[in-house]
Amino acid sequence: MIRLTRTQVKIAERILATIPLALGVAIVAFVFMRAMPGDPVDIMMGEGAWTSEEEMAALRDEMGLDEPIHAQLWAYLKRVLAGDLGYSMIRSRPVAEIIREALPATIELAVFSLLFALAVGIPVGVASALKPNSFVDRAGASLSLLGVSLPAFWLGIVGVLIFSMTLGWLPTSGRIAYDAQPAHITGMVILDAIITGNLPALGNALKHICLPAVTLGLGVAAVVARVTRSSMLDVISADYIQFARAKGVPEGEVTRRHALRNAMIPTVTLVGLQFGSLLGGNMIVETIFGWPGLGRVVVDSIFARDYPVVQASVMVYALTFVLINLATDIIYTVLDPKISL
Amino acid sequence: MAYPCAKESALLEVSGLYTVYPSARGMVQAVRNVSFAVSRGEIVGIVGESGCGKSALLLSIMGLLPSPGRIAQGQILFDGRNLVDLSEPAMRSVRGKEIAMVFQDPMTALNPAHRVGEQIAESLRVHGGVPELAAGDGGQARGAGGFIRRRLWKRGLSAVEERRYVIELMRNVGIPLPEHRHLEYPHQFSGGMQQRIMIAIALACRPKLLLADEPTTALDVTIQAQVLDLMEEINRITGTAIVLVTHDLAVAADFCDSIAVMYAGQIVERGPTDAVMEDPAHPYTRGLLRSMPVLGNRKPLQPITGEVPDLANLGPGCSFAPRCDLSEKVCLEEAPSVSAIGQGHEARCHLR
Ligand SMILES: Nc1ncnc2c1ncn2[C@@H]1O[C@H](COP(=O)(O)OP(=O)(O)OP(=O)(O)O)[C@@H](O)[C@H]1O
Ligand code: SF4
Ligand SMILES: [Mg+2]
Repeated sequence: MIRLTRTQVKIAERILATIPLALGVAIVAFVFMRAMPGDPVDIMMGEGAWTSEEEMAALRDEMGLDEPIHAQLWAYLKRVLAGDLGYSMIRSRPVAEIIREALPATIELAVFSLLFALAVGIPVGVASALKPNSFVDRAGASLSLLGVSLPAFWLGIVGVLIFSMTLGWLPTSGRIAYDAQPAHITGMVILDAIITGNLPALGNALKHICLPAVTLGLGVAAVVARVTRSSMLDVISADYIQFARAKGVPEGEVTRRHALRNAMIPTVTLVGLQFGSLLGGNMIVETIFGWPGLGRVVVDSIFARDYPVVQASVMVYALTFVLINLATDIIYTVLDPKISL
Repeated sequence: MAYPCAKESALLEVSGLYTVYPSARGMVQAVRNVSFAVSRGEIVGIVGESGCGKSALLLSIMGLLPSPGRIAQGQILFDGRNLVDLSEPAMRSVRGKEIAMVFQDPMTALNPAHRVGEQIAESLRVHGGVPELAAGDGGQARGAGGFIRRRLWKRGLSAVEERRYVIELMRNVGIPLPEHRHLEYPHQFSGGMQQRIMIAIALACRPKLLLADEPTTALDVTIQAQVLDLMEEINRITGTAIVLVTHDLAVAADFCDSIAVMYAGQIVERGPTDAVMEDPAHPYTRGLLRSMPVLGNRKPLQPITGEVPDLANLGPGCSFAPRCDLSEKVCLEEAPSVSAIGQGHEARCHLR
């Protein structure tokens, strides 16, 4: 008999609770996809195509598209519950395989965007709060405004124009040069390059990820900076900060040990929310930079009415949102001992 | 400024201190020409109503005035050094080590994100260890082991020793089960226990002087008495001098060797507790006494009527004049200076 702590039980509960959620999301995605005009066969064959009505009917029969909708849904749910995500109607490959290939690229991009956002947003926010109305504060405020208001597609294109086309520092698109790929371990090329100690691959992959990560992360960096600034301003006027100084704690440590940790609580909420949208909202950036991630798979599949792929991807998105939420809540309990799961 | 009974070895000697907060309303004169002394081992009470500059005075001593507050003039001699002139790093090694401070509201003064044991230990760490005798084993500290241990303390404590000392401190301030509770967080303690933890933090480095800014105001009455008793015991056992800031004259009377009464940024009367309580010289002190409930006395209390003056906008005369029932013409025109009443007893009033 394994004994679990209360926290572990709570975590297990929340993970199990994602199963009905995933099914619900699958149903919604199913219904929405069917509500769109045209089906995969129409799209594949194109309008006014040479294919005869009989051939198209045969294809629909093969894909199970001639069954009544509720029967299709029922069959789909049964398969999903059995752990089978189905077969792509267009790519003739198992959906699970497609997702397994694309998801690591998306996670990698989201993680790097987030790292960029934190690395820029937190120091700017802290510096702005420590010296309100200083140059850093004003510059941070203006840049934040730009960061949240510039659309990603514009930023991405300008970035490519400057850094790839004009200066030639960075590649225009893709994830890694074909001949630089490291051995496949996790599917995240940067991680794989680090694990295998493959420095050329690492350098190449980092060059590729720079522009997309900055494009995707800039807006988040801006919001992180604003939220960190305001929570830091609250915290530094707290009594316990003054008390820490009265203990003789040096100013730098007062900021790091006493202020930052408490100020991070609102930032963590924000990061949890934003990380979900970095994972799920990067279709545009993936498209601009030819990033072979889930966002692009979803866009392509929607256009092709590739029902099983879209449904499965949407489920993956929903699950990542829930898991990120859980991770956020766990980080909370670490930062604020008053909170428990 | 004359000290009628200048103690031979005053630990703290504040003289002619002015502290100001520049503000939109004008220069707020939070502390005006304050002079007082604290001898080693003495307990001094500073009494006054809200906004009279008590906290500003303590923060000036700690060098922790929140900006834009600053010391405009004056001297704060502590153990032979003028704290006003000390550099920030030098001041930091005084803070928490030689002069410690306890805040009013333990609920907000303890960091909610750190374990209490950790917060106590931090004081030790920033000052690089503990005074030898403090580990509670003055006897064992001698001999070879003691020598090694003393060397360790010079460089900071080992984790085990640090924890032992933290637990010892918690036990000394009356926290039950310290060996478990040092791992808990502030919100898991009651207000009184939190205040004891704050006192433990303040005492960790065995300071010579403890500044307590209304340490019991946030607590229940019964708990107040316990915390005051604890501080009195600490003073008796360790000889730590205490400056107790309070707005409650009764508390100061019970607890302090001498009392300074503050009004509108000035000390208007100070002297040994008995002298001030039995022969209050300043009309404000007398007013405070009349507004103080006395057990078994059924006479109605007489609160002091009127409002405290605006410290950004002070007139030329005695700042208590608008509320003083003895006020005369001279009181409105000329600020009173300090006059001696008795042994170490003085007041700032024209009528004395
Ligand atoms: N940061 C500040 N800026 C401007 N004025 C201030 C500031 N802090 C305090 N003051 C003013 O200085 C004066 C003294 O304040 P102080 O906090 O020392 O009073 P106090 O005696 O400690 O009162 P309490 O009993 O309420 O704690 C008050 O008039 C207050 O308004
Ligand atoms: S100087 Fe005058 S107004 Fe001021 S306290 Fe004394 S009697 Fe009252
Ligand atoms: Mg105060």
